[in-house]
Amino acid sequence: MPKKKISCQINGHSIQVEEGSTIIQAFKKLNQRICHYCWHPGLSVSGVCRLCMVEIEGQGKLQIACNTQVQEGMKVSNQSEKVKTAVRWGLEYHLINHPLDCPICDQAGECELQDQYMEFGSYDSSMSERKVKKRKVLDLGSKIVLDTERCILCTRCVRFTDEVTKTHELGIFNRGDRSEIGCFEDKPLNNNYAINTVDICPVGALTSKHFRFKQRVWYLKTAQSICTGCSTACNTYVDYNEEGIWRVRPRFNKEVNGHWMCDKGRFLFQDMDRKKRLHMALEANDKFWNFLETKVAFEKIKTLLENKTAHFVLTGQYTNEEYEILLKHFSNSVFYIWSQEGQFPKFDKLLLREDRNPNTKTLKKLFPKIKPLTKLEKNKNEIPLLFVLGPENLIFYPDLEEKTKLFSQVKSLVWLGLVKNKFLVCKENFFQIPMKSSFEKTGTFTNYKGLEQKIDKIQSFNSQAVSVEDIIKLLKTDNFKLKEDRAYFKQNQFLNSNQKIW
Amino acid sequence: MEEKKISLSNDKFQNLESPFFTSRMDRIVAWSRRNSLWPMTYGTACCGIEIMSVLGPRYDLARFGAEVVRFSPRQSDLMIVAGTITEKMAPIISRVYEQMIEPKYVIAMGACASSGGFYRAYHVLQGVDKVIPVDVYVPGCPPTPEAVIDGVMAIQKMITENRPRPYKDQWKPGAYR
Amino acid sequence: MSSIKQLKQDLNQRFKKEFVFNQICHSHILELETGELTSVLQYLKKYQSFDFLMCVTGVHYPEREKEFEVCYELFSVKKISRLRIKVFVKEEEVIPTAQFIYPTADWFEREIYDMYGLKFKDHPNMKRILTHHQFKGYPLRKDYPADLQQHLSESLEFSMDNEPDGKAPDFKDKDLIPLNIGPSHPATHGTLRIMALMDGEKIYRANVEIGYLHRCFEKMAEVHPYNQVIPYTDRLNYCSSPMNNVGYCKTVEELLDVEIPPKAQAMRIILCELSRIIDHIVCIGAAAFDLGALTGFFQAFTYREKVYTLFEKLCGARLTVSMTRVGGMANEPPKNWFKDILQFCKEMKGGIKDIDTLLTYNKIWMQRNQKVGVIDTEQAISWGYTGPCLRSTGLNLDLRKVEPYYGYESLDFEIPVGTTGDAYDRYLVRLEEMRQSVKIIEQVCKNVPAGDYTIRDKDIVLPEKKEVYGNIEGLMNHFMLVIHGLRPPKGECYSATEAANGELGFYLVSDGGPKPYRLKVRPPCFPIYQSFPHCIQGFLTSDAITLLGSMNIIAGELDR
Repeated sequence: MPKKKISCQINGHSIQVEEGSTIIQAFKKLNQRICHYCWHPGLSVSGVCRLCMVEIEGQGKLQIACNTQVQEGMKVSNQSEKVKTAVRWGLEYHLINHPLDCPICDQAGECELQDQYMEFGSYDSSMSERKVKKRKVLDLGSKIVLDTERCILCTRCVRFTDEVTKTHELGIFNRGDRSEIGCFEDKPLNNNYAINTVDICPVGALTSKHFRFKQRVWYLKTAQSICTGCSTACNTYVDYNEEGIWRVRPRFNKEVNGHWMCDKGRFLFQDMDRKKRLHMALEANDKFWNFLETKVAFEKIKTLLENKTAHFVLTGQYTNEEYEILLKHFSNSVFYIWSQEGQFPKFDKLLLREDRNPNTKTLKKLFPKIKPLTKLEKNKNEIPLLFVLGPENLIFYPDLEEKTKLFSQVKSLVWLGLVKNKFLVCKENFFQIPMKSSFEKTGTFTNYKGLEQKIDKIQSFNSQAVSVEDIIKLLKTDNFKLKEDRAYFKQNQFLNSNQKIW
Repeated sequence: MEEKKISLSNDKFQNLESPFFTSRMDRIVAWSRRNSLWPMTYGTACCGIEIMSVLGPRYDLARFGAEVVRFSPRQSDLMIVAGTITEKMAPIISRVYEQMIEPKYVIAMGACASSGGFYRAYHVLQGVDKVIPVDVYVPGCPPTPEAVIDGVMAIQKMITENRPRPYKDQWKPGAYR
Repeated sequence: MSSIKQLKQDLNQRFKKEFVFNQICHSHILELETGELTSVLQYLKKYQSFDFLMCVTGVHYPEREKEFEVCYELFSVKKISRLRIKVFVKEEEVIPTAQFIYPTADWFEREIYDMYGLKFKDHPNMKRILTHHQFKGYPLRKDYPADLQQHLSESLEFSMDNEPDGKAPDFKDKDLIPLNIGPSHPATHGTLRIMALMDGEKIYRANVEIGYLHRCFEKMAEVHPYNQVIPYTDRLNYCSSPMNNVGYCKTVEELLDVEIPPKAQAMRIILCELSRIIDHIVCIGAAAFDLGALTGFFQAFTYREKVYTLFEKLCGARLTVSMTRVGGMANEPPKNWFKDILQFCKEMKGGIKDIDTLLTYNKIWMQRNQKVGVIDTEQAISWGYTGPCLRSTGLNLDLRKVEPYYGYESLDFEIPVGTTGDAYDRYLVRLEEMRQSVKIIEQVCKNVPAGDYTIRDKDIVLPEKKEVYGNIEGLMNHFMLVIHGLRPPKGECYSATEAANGELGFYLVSDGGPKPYRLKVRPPCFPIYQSFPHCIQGFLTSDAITLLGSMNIIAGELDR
């Protein structure tokens, strides 16, 4: 049942909001700026920071916007001198014991304290006492580091573990200015959604070990993308620069993933690191693999393909456009599906689903008569040429070795993948072709519900890596030139990427 | 150099058979070369003004023998590249360097001549050592005259010790490093 | 305001069209189509007395449909008013050249072609001017990366491509000898190349090539935050670097709409006048050096050393000081600095007298400098001369009196003006300007206002070090200013100061980001050097050297 609409005035602008929504939600709807720390749209209201104060006409005292519901005809303002002074005092009290950590804090550049001080504070500090020292660099599990000195006790992380993951690992210990966040000794913060606390922490108290001290945020550009870990297809932000991808964060999408994403999806980009990937195509002769250019490799494959029907092994990790173009040009071929049914635990009631492929739905729709791999085992001697569209995320394919051995028994094989398949036998007429990762191509994925989501190209690897569309063009047309992509991978001379920092 | 027997009061020289006079000759030649460097100031930019100060009366470079400032490459043996060298200037400075007669030394004065300075730009040569071999780099933007004098003294030391200069041995005219 | 209304009415009457006038940040902008450009410019020059074309700039907006913008900055001496005219063009469109109305537009348009690739119709010499002739691409466009170098294999051949009909004079016929007064020459101050066709000792025709010191200042400014552009401005006119700093900071402060405290203004005036003195010392000293009068050079340079000591006391560097910041000065003036300056003024008066005695009534100096490079006011204005070269022709245009800034209006000084416009007059004007500068410095040093040396706005100026290391608010403020940047509001601004050579203008376009979107420098010696081939025709080679010395061409400013 649709809720009743109430009208109110925020800073002089009129707006209609649903009944039961708080003032701060009205501020967000109007894109008005208000100082706040503890409120988060995905968590419950706690009202601990006392900074979102507003002046409501007719009420003498200032009220907090996050916990006050909108009434009909309310006139709210946060621009008056009273509110500004109150916010300044509030900020100063929050910062009394805050350590001077900006140069070594990871959150610099996206720190809410910095941003909101410049926007709402801008006062001269009058703190001249010694600051309270607390414990720094505490291990909160295998993924997260806690710095209790920087914590401003907004309790967002505590509410997250209570309400979203329902694992209750975090809590506040001690009282007064000695309060700190912590977890119990036997229950470290090790669930599959732990790094979301790092995203919601407004200061640098919680930092993730995989990004700690790696890169400064202002050197990074942000692009929108989709996680290819499972069929939920959470929306993400990818932070990257010329050296590569550094970090993946969740993007809000009401229908798909809300505000969160699981930790497994955050680490997928590390396996697509340029040092691990194939730079050129590989061709096998009896003893070892030879490097050659993708174009040359495909000319040889073309000769193998003449007048024969190729067989394809498909995984659910490619985009809709790639499947469509494959179907269009190779409609007579035989297709097999390589799936991982039953290998992974069922839906964990939050985001991670059993099907660890982003696009199985389209695959099943476009190829209704697709055959299982047992059929391949039977036909393996009749297959003239087998194309294997290898998976991008190899960690979700634990039977890689077993299946590769199966595939190695055919006459000629073309393995399309990101990294070199070390289990593939070195036999005549075997090829390995480098492919573009999901960060380097444009396309659409369909998630488990049928929602189509688009991905865009973020960076380019090199001109030898191809997508399925390029492959079709190489096979079907003559003299197709692969686009010379100026891959701009600069090595940061001051940061040795092999160095273990933490 | 033929051996000449020179009688000296000092005992230790009497047992020598090797050409003692040749080695002394080297040192005499080196002494004369380093104390009479004829600089050619290839001043293009702000360091050119600072070179004018170095040659001025307060920080006198003439005290070190480098008094005769010749603007012609044929008449000088020390080229002080003072200032930014742009891509347009690169073939010209290369040609001027080739016109100098051996022995010739090059000081890259300032950050721009050493490595492009803070101009990481499309028209600036990232260091004059991309087109000519350099012996001494004097950092600074612009280097204080004391630093330039220090650079000249370093050249003098190099001449005395006859130190090998690997860049120079591998340099070919017209090459771009 | 009333003058703009009057202008609007006049234009409406003449062209029967309602023109679009904008006002951004104190400047008036008129938008035109390419078809009506020449007629409007001609009308403005003839009937509205906009006789100066200060600068022609290009700006690239890749998101717009009409990607490029060409701005003409006009100045009227009679009415003391400025007007900016904008024309919007697409990539392949051809704009009519303004060269036949304002001859000074010649090289400015060539520069726009070099940097953006926009062609001007009927321009006789549409060739690259700053980058080398084998350069491919247009560097100031937004899609050209700043550090993409392109190497040159051979320098440009001798050519006379600046002939009016495009026909070079035949070398064989008239027995003309081509002489290359090359970029590496003791008498050309820095890296200027003059290609002269000699008829015996006389120069029959000349052509100049510039760009040997093109250090891509404008592209570097687009890649660095506002305060980090200040060291780049130092190296524009390296003989008087504080003046460039002041000019740039003045432009950014105008865009931000802040006013700096009176102490900072006083310090900036002192620095400007000191720089003016040392710039004129270099000019006169180097000109004397080229003509053989070595004593004058060495005598004058001792005073330059004294000023270096003063600069070193303030900020630590001698030549390329980065003394100003947006919002004021970088440092507090040290103890007794003003007393030291007064002491210097006393010594400088003696120094000027020395130079005077050595050169002014020196027969050789007079014979070599008089009647060389004579130019009258009309011609000088049409060529875009400003500064001592213009004042030596008889027109007393000085921005310190006409558009005063930082308190020049309350100071008592005079503007020296010459009569004939030859090299000797320019020398005399410069010498007298040095005396007037000493006068100004003395007046300011005796009444230095008390107060802060910079404004204390947290969004513009970095906090003091004891705040940054002392409390978290100062640290956060410092961090945010360095990573987030000082962000002026969207807009554009042209601001000019009277530098030692003339009007040094900065045209700044801001898109609200931490780095300038477009920063164009209007160098004073760029239009002056444009007229050099024309002024030198028929003179002897030695006169060419004299003229070059009197024009005070500084390659850092010319090529940027």
